Amino acid sequence: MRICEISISNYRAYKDARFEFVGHRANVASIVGRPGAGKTALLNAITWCLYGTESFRGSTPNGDRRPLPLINKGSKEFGLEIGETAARIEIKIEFEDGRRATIRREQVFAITGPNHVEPLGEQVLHVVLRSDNDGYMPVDEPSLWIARHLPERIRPYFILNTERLEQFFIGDGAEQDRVRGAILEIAQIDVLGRIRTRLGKVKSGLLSRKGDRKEGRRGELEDDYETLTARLEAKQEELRCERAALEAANADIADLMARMGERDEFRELIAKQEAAEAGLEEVKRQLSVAEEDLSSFIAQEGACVLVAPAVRELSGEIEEAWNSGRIPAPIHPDFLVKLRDHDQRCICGRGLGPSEQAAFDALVARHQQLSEHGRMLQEMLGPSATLLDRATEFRARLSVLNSAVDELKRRGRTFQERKDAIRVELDRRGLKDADLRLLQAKQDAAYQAKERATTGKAMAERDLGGLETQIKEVERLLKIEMKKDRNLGQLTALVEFTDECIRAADQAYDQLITQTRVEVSDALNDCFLKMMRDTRGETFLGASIDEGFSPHVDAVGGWDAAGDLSGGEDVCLALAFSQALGRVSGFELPLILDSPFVKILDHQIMSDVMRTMLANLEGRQLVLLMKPEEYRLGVQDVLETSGLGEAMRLDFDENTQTTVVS
Amino acid sequence: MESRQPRTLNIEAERKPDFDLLVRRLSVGERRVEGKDAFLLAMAYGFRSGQRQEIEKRLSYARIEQLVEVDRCMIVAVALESGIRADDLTMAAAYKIAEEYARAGIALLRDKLDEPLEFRNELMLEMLEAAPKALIEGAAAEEE
Repeated sequence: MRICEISISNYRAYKDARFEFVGHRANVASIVGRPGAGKTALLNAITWCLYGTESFRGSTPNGDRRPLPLINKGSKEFGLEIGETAARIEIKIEFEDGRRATIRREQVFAITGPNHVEPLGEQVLHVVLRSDNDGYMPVDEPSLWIARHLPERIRPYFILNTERLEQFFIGDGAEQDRVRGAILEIAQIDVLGRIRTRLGKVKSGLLSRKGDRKEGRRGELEDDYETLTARLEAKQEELRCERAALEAANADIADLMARMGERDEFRELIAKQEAAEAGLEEVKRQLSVAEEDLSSFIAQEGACVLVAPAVRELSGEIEEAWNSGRIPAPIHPDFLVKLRDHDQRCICGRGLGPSEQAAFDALVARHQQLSEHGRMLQEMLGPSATLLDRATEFRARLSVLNSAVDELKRRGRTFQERKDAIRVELDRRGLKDADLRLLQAKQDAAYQAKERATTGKAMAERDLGGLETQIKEVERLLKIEMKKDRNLGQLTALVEFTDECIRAADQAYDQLITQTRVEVSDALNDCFLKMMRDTRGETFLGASIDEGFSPHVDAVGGWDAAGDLSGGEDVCLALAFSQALGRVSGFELPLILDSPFVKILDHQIMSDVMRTMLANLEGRQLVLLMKPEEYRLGVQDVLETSGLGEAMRLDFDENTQTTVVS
Repeated sequence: MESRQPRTLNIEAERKPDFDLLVRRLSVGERRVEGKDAFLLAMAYGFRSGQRQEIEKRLSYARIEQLVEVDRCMIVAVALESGIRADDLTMAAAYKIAEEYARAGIALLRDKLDEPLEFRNELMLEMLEAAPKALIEGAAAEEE
């Protein structure tokens, strides 16, 4: 691969510059400039274009270290106007097969004053391919394209400056790391390293997954499952009991309701029984009264009936005495005397005549003369009649009383029979008043039992639902654990496979790095000896890189001259190493060297090294950035002798603060 | 003849318990039979049986003033029926005769008093037996 052209706009001291590497410059190009003229800026322009970063620190014309603002701040008098401007670098390259590519990176800046330059937005990278067959074709992923064809990791080995050369093999104890890193990068062995690292991570992940499995987790879950299942069965039994209790309570309630349905009829019977009892009691009371009446009647009238014949006789005698006039009408004599002695001698308002007066006096005399017996008969007149009447009425009255008693007794029997019948019916139905109360109490108890059973059933069902949910969750976890257990075997196998891969990768890594090291070492030896043979003859017997990645230079006499090389020898060794890396890696990149001979004081050595370099380019493009004295004292003659033409010159215009390429 | 008016009806002293028992048998419920009623019943029963017995040891049993007209009428009728001459008949004599019938009557009733229900029934039957007879006798007498 060769660089065909580099165009730089608004980048540091470069306002608008173009480097064309055509003709003899296509192979070897020399660019000469004083310090601060823009040599390092050109290196940075290349790295910025390719990778977006600047890798080198240049110096000002005064020798000061230049800060790294990407764009020259400029000034009005230097032509940078206030406003927006873009730093743009374009590199055109050509591959060995004829394909060409244009790489362009630009960044827009806002210039608000002499000391105020701010980037606007992101850097923009374009890669456009051009071939005779396909024409121009933009690359979709320019960064990836660059990483594939111009990987940044190998940049230090095709863009080198003096410091790099000096420090590359410096014995600071870190040269092994640098060498090793270079070999690894050149050999792209880091891909295998990343694979190995990735495998390591995979293994760690697998082991972590294995390690995440809690010990005894499945056992705990199985214990939980067993416990929950036992609780579930117990709760199901409890639910069955509650349901049975509920059914029993419902059955009791239904039965009691049915029995309570007879309550009205039962109460009606009870009422009838009570009515019969009341009627019976009333009849008994009435019978008692009737019997009292009868007994009293007998007591009162018994004597009357028994002595009725005597009274009859007495009545007859009284009647006879009355009829015979032996006894007058039953008027008391005192009353008659009062009547006679009355002044007006009148009765009922009428005066008595003489005959009436005489008869009245005779009557009074008769009463006064009446014997005790006669008076007794006279007094018995009314009572005897009464007694006879009573005796006459006795049978009828006794019959009435007896009938009343009999009727009451009959009614009493009727009530008793009714009462007995009701009792029989109640007994037949097995119902008693106490039964009714018991029934009511049982119904209340049944309702309470139903309520308890309903509550218990609801709670049991709720608990059951919770347990079933828990069991399902445990079952799910158990399935997961069982699956994990199944996967664990696969995981273990996978870990073992990964181990094998890692071991294989390690083995391949070791083999590849060893192989690469050996190849690089051999190439280094070849390149270095070629370079040294012309100038040092047989002073050096070879160069190598040992297993510890330490460079060695075998010198005549059997000693290692790696730490005792001169400046030119160091440059040659570094160039040889670069050549070796390029040879082994297959990247035939241009070699861009910044001030390669600045530390070589001997002009002859400079020329020798230059010739050696030209003789060992192996087709690589060489771009040399040199100070004027380097070029004039050690390089110019060699280049001109070799027909490689004059060098391009960089001049810094103090007036315009701009580098001019000529 | 007794000239002085008696104030009480007398019974044989030793028959006092029998008279009291008769009073209890005749008393039903709240209805208390008086002593003079028991006396009259005993008298009538003795008269009905035709038995009389002189009082040996008198014991006042009821006051005369308790008697009403019909009571005295029954006593007089019994006394007249006992055969006393009409001229000799006084209330005192009648009471004495009544006491003698009562003594005999209570003796006859005594055996019946031990069975209260039987007593009343037998007494009622005897009354029924006596009642028609009295009426028939009365009716026959009227026809004569």
